[in-house]
Amino acid sequence: MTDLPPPPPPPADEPPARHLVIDVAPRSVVFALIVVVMLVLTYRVLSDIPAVLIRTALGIFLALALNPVVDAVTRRVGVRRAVAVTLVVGGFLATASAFAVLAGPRAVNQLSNVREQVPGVISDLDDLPLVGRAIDENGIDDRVRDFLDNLPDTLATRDKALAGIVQSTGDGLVTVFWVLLVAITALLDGPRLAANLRDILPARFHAELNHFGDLGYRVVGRYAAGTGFIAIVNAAAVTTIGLALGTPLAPLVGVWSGLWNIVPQIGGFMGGATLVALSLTRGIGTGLMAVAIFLVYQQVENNIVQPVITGRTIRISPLANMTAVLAGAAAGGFVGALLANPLLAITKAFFNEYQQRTELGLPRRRGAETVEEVGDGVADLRPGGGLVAGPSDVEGGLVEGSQQ
Amino acid sequence: MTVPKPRWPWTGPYDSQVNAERVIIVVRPRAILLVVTLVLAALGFLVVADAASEVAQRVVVAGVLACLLRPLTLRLARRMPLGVAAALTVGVVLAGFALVTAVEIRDLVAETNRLKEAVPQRIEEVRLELEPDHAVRRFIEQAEVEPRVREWLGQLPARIVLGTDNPAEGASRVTGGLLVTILTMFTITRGSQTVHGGIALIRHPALRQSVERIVRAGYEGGSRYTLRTLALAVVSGVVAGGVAYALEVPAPSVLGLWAGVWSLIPVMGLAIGYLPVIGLAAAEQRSKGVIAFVVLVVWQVLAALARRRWIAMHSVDVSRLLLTLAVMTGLHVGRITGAMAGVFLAAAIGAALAEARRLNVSGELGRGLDEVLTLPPA
Repeated sequence: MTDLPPPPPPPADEPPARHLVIDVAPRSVVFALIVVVMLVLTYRVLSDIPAVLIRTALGIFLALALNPVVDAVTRRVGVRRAVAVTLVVGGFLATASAFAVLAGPRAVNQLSNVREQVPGVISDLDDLPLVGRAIDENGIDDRVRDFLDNLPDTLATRDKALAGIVQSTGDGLVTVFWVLLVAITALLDGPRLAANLRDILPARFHAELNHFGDLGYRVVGRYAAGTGFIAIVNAAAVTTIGLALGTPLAPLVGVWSGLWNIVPQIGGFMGGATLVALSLTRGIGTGLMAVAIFLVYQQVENNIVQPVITGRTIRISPLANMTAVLAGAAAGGFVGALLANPLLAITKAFFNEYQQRTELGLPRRRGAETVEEVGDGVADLRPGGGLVAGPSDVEGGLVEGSQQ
Repeated sequence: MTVPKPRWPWTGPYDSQVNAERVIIVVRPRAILLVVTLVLAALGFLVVADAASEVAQRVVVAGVLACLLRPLTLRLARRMPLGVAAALTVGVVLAGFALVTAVEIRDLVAETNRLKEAVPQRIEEVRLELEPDHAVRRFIEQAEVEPRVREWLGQLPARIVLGTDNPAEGASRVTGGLLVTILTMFTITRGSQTVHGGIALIRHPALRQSVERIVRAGYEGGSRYTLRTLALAVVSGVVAGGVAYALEVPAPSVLGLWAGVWSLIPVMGLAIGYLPVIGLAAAEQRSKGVIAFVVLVVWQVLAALARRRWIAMHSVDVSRLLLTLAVMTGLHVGRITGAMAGVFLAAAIGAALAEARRLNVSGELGRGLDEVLTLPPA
């Protein structure tokens, strides 16, 4: 950054400064305060219903992930959107149900064996180099055994733990239903609602709104669809690794890992750590094999699968990515971490658009341009067009690396 | 087409050759006083609004109820004073509500008494069937599941009657209900004038007319849609209760209420509301389950037709996404009352948006906004 030259010294014969008297029109102050009060009240109301926001955000994210499939079914099968939504959501639910039916009984059987296996594994840890002696001297295997023996009593007496578990299960079911319902209705009515909201504003803004709406949708939609697909790949891979190594609860660990995989940066670790921890119950060797295989898979996912699937949808430097995820997690937990990346990507895409217009001196979009007319990547380079991840990204300072 | 490397737009060199005029800005004391006063007033408003959030919820519920009851009140008011008509309408609704509640509570208490015996007995049977070392048996014994369940079921009638097992909280809810009733009567009789008075404060004629039309569309669309949706929910509940009664499924009135409330939720609500009826009927006898399922499918088709032909065409075609968000949020915040308020608000917003779109196409709304946003001549 170059230093600015110092301002010129005032000449000796400078005329006296002119006084400019400012008065404030009451209605401008009132208008500004009304806007501020409305914003504060909206924030206050929304902060009272975090569960509503989380479920709604998850539902819309799921809708965005399924929307490309719905569009493809509508185009290729030649059916109405409602039928396509029914087919896609029905298929999604049928697959999930089939998984639950096939994996559920096996998981329950394996769960009953975990209690017997864990102390054995802890005993094996006594033989580890460096830490084995400390584990043996501190009697960690006895503590784990005591913990498992006293677990029912702990659940019954400690701070209503049993009631908490029942309530958590109920909340989980409500959340699943809510997310699914929001996703279905967003798939059915989302485009119509967005168009209706746009039509309330004067027609002169429509072209700009279409353009920025399309830009935002492409960034978030592709991110959601790509992330969803990679999560499925991750769940399948972890389940396969778990089954091959005889890891307890392998199908459930797969689902767990797939869900965590949606969260950038820390998601992969969370899934892998669970796989390794449960593999350790089969023995130290199995645990180490799980570590090795999972690390190999993670490299394949990060460097081959992910770039192919998400392509250049979101290209943000790992540092910016990590910071955004941590800030999002601090602000909104799992959902905050999930949404941090696409929000950052949207901001970047809008900034690129602004930067291009400023540099090229392009005019603002006018006229009745529709989302369809904006088209895909080629149209973005037309005057007034924006870039999701185009040439300017490659030259920009923020852009590099992959998502995880 | 090549894209040049972007530059920061604000890093242009400082032009030291420009001789800018020196200006001293003076803000009038009157302006400072005005800004400070208005900011303090806004802060005061925020503090009061924050403290009165529960009251605000009750006012919203009262407003929704008033909008729904106003058509009947106005019809009665042709033969009697408005105040008497409002009191009569609210009295009739309260009596109907009390009747339904009494029937539901009687059914629920009877079923609860049956469960109080059956559930602990079944838990004991399960415990004795298992080996002494079995994890589930140890859990039942160590967690004292049976006495806990017995105690919880014993508190259920109080929860049903008061909505809680805490008498103080229950009394507070009853007081809140009375407050809502009084607010509703006030809103029915005086709400219309208050809204008109508020709109009359808008000085710009075009904007005033636009706002008036949007508010009227929201009120009419919201009321019509909600009343018809509630009527359909009642019929859905009656169908579910009737099927349960005919198939000798326990607690038919409770199942009817359950199905009716769920039918307010679009897309999947009706199907989920009927699931307990089908499940319990199938538990009695498989053929009964099949009959309940067939009735559900037939009613689902009829209800979908009614929504399209009878509700949407005669009121407003509300977006299912908007309706889902409003109803689920309402259920989360205020249970059944909240869900009903959610239906009304979603329909009112949908109708108001449709009217705003129409006004925008004809240019009336744009002219009104331009009047407000354009500065007056100096």
